[in-house]
Amino acid sequence: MSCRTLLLPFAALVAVAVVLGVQLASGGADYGPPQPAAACTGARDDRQTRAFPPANAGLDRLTEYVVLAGVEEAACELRISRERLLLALPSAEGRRAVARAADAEQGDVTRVLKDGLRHGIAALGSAGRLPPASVLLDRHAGQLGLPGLLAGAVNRVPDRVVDGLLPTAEVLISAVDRLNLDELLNGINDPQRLETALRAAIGSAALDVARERLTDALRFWR
Amino acid sequence: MLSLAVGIVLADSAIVTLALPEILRELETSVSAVAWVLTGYNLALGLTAVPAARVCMKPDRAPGAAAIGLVLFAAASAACALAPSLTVLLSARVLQAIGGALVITAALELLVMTTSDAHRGVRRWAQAGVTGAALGPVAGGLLTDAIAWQSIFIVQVPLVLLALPAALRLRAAARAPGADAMVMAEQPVVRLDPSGSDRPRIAANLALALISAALTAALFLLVLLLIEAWRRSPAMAALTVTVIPVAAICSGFVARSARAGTKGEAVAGSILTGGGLIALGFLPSADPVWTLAPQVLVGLGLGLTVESLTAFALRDRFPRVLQGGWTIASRHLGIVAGLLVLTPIFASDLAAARAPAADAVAALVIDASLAPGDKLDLAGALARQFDAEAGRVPEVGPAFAAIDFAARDLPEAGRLELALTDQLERAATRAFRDAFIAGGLLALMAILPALALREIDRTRRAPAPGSAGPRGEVVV
Repeated sequence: MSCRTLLLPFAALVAVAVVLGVQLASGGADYGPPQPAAACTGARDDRQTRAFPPANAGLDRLTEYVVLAGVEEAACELRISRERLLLALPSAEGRRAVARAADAEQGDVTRVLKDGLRHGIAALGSAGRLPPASVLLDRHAGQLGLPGLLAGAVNRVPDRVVDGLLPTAEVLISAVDRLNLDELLNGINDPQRLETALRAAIGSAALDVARERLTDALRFWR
Repeated sequence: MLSLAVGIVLADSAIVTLALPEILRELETSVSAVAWVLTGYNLALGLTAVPAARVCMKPDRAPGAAAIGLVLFAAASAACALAPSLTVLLSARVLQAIGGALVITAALELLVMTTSDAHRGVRRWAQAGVTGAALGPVAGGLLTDAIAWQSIFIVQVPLVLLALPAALRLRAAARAPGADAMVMAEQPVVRLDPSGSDRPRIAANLALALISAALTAALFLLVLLLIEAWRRSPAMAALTVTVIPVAAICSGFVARSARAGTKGEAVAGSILTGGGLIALGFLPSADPVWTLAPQVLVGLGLGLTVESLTAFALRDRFPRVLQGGWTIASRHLGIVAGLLVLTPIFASDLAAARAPAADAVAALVIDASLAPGDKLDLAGALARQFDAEAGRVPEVGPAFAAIDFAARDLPEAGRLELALTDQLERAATRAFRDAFIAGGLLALMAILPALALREIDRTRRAPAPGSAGPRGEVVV
C-alpha cells in the first residue's frame, strides 16, 4: 500500500481514538445502573441504628423502619440484596426463587424475615425509639382498630398502668410471632386484608401480654 | 426520476426504522417480531436482486421491467399503509421488495442509457442508493412524527410513480426502429477490460455486505436507543440521525482530498464505521449530543465505503446489470445478517437489564424521603407500569401522576422521578452496548476483504474496437 493509501486509514484511526478517548474519559465505560449495595455491609447493629426514625416519628415511619430492618436482616442471611428480596417477596414464585438461589427451603425465607422483624423491633426498643403503649393508644386508637368504648375505657386507666401492662416491644414481637407471613405476603396487594391481619395479630398479642402481666402481678400480690 | 425511484427503494430498507416503535405499539407485537418489517424487506430484496438483474440483462427488457417494478412497488406500498396486522404488513413488504429489485436493477441500465456514459450512470446509481439509504430513516422519522407511520408508505406511491413515464418512454424508444444501435452501445456483452471476468468481485461484495450489516446497527439500534430508551420523539430522533447522511455526503470531499484509492477508502471507511459504532456503545450520558461525534465517524465511514466499493464492484465487469444485482444482494443480505445477529443480542441484553434496573429503582424508592404510604402506593404504580410496558423500557411519569403527594413532598417526588428516569436510561443505554460493539466488529471485519481489493489500473489501454476479448466477446 502506498503512503497516500495509508494516510486515510491512519487519519481514521486517529479520529476514532479521539472520540473513544473523550467518551471513556467522560465515564462512558461505567455508564449503567449501579450495583445494589450488599445487604451485609457492616455489622447488624450498624445497619439497625444507622437510620433510626426520629423520636417523634409516627406509626407509619416506625412500621417502615421495622419492615426494612427485617428485610435487610433477611437479605443478609440469604446473601442477596435487600432490593432483590423486596421485589421477590410479594409473589410465592419470587420467594421460591429466592429460596432456591440461597439453597434453602421456602419456609426459611419467611423465618429469616420474621427474625429480622423481631431484631428491628428490639433495636428500636433498646434505643428508646418505640413510643410507650399509652402514647400509641392515645394517638392511634383509630389505626389500631380499638372500638370507641374500649378506647375511652383505656383512656381512663393511668398511663403508667397501661405502659406496664403493654410493653410496646414485647407486644409487637409477640404480634410478629403470630403472623402468617406467607399468607400476609400473598395478599400484600389487598390493603384491607393486610390491615385486618395486622390488627388481629397486634390485638391478640396485646391481650396475651396484658393477661400474662396481670397474672404475674396477681401471683406477686398473693 | 429514475434516481429518485432508486433512492426511494433503497431508502425503504431503513425508512421504517424510526416508525418501528410506533408500529410495535399499534400492531401490538414484540421488538423481535417488528424487526421483521426491516428484515423481511431486506431479505426479499437481497434474494430477488440477482434474478431481477437477469430479467433486465436484455436491454430492451429493462424499461418494461422498471415499469412493472414501479407499479408493483407502489401497489405494495399502498398495501403496507393499509395493513391491519403485522402479517399483512410483512407480506406487503416482501412484494414491495420484489418490485424494488426490478426497479433498482433496471434503473442501472436505464441510467447508463440516459446518461450515455457508463461511469457516470453507475456513479449516479450508486449515489442515489447511498443518499436514499442514509436519508430514509430521517424522512421516515419526520413523517411518523408529523402524521403517522402509514404516511411513510402513502408518500412513496406518487413519488415512485413519477419515474413511470420515463420508464415507458425508454421502453418505447428501445422498441422503435433504429434503436438497436443505441441499445447495443451499452450491451452487456461489451467488455472494456478483456483481462477481467464476469464473476462478481467477491472481496468488494463481501466488504459491502459487512458494512451494510454494520449500517443496521447504526440506524436500527441508534433509533431504538433514542426513541425507546431515551424517550425522544421520532422527529427529534430523525433530526439526531441526520448527522449520518450529512457526514456520508461530506465523505465525498474527504475522498477527493485524500485520493487514497478504493482500498484506502474502504479500509478507512471500515475503521471509521466500526470505531463510530463501538463509540456508540460507550456513551457517557443519555444526552443525544454524545451520539453526534460517533455518528459523524459512522457517516464518513459509510460514505467512503459504500460508494467506492459499489463503483469498484461494477467497474469493467459485465453484464453490468448482473454485477449491480450482486452488489444489491450483498448489501441487503448483509443488512439481514446484521439484523439476525444484532437483534437477539440487543433483545437479550434488554431483558437482562430489567433486574438491575428494577433493583436500582427499588433502592431509590426505599431510600426516598417520602411518606411511607406514598412510597407503597408509588411502588405499586411503578410495578403496574413495568408490567404494562413488558419488554419495553418503562416510563415512570404515569406512575408519579397517579399518586397524590402532599405539597411538602412534591420537591422530593420530583427529584425521585428524575432519579428513576436516570436509572432506567442508564440501564437501557447499557443494554445497547454489546449490540453496538458487535456491529462495530462487523464493520471492522470488512477491513479484511477491503485489503484484498486490487486497484484497477486505469491507464491500461483498452483493446482496439472490433477485436475479440478472451472469451470471444466483441469489444466496441
